[in-house]
Amino acid sequence: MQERVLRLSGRVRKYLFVPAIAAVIALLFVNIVDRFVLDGALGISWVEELSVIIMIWLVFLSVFAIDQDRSHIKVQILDLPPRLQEILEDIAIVLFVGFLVWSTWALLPRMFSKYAALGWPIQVGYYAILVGGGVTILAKFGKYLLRGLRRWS
Amino acid sequence: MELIAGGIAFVVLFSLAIFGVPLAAAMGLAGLVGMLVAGIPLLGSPIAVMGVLGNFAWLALPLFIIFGGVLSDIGVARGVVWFGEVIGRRVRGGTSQVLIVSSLFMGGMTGSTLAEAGMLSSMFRDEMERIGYARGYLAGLISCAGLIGALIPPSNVLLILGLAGEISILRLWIAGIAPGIMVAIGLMIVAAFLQKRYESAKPAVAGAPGGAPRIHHRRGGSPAAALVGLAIPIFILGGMRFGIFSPVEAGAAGIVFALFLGFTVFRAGASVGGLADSFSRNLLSSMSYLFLVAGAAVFGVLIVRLNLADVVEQFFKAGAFTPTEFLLLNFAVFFVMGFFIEAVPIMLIFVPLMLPSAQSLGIDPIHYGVSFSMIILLANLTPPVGVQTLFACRLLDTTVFEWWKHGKHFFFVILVVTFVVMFVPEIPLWLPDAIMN
Repeated sequence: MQERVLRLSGRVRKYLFVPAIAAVIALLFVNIVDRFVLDGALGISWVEELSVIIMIWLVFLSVFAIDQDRSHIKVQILDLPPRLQEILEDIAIVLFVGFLVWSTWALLPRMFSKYAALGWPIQVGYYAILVGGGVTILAKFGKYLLRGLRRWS
Repeated sequence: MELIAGGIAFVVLFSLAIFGVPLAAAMGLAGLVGMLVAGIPLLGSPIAVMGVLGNFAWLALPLFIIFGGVLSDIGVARGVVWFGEVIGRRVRGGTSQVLIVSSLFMGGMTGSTLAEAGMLSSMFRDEMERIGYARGYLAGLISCAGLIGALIPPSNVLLILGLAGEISILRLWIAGIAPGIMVAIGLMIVAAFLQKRYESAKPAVAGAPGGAPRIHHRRGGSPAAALVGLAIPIFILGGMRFGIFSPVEAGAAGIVFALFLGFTVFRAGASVGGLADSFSRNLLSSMSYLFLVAGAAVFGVLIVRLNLADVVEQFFKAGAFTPTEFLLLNFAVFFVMGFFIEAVPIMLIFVPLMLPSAQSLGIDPIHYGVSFSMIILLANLTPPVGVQTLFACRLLDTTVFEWWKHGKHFFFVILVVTFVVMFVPEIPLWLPDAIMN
């Protein structure tokens, strides 16, 4: 099961993250060409907004992948037992991400603005927190649930 | 009350950090606790996170990290080492000089001190051990030379500092050049003096009479690749200076340009699968920094709502601090903090907090920014716990004790340059002033 999660996280990287960032790079490049070569003929003023939305989605979706690699940026001074260290890390991530998910959930019904150039509702960016955070928390609970089951069986 | 809530938040932050909690979560949870204590509405947090990450300029970070990866994949990094070979071999100290000159120009590409240390170590380790250099020497040299990369544009450290403190990134990048070159020259002088101690201690490889054997063709760099590597900082800074593109667009244009070269001129290194791997690896490592930014944004709510920057400013005004005293105090505090914590998280929290005070004391924000990053980078190098040092020791299978025994002279160079930059504002400032006005 743990392997299946790892394989999933690898596939997400390959088929979702890499194409997404490649699309951002392509959009930005087309935008430069449009501005200097085509004299703004394409008129793609929404490029910056869309790139930022993609970046925000990438940030929150990759929390899950970073979690799987356990490569969060942290301080390593105390040599705690690895098991204890892992549990501390998991609790902190679940609490922080959970707080973000909860506050975003409570906030969303009160937001009515739109992205200026795209005309999309502002929620589109906030959904990244809900989806990315949700996946991260689920993966954590799944991990402990499976460990419990294995010990019990 | 405000001070109590702020104090509690910082205590929570540092205690969580010491227990090895991921720093993004530590910052976010500390901010949450502070908000609860001070009675600040919690729903401002997602707005702050979106507000900070919604800044288009943050995209420059993943793009430049990916750019560096692509450049090294298509062989430009090797080309730069080839150039270092041409320049460095003529100077006393041979291989060490090649390494230093290479890292000076590689800094313009990788932007990450750790990635650069990894690359240099894999390219120089065998050769320098064969000549007779101790591993501690190599670890010291590589970890200190890595700092050059953090100062030469495009520098990720200075990019993040500029975004956190809302300072002009172009000016910061240009301001890093002179200190970066000073560090390089300092290291080169030390290496020239140390050469005899190591190279005469053990005879060179049999059959290579006197001096260092020339085996640079094994590293396989080409002049064309070197030219690309050297042109990159000029391309980026020039494009930004003349308003052709923003930092973000410079990153995107650079990647497209590098991919084009990779599939036309330097066909050896480029394969679609390999590039996708390096994209994904570098993307993920940049995302772990942006996740920190999200955590720092939550903490930032607390700083703004409690007016902590004002409190700090009042404190320094009341104490009638001179700029010199202020900088020394900064050195004391952030040097100690930097023993344990990487540069980026410290910057995200403390630059917005300290910069207003620095400015009200008449310190130029660019000067403060460069000094601030040098203090933390120096601290990151300081044994026994500096992250940069530990990383180099792990990389080269050596101990911090050996690092200190053989590499301390390099460390002192960085220490001296840091103090010179702190007390001679003209050093970081003259170049941006000359170019921008």
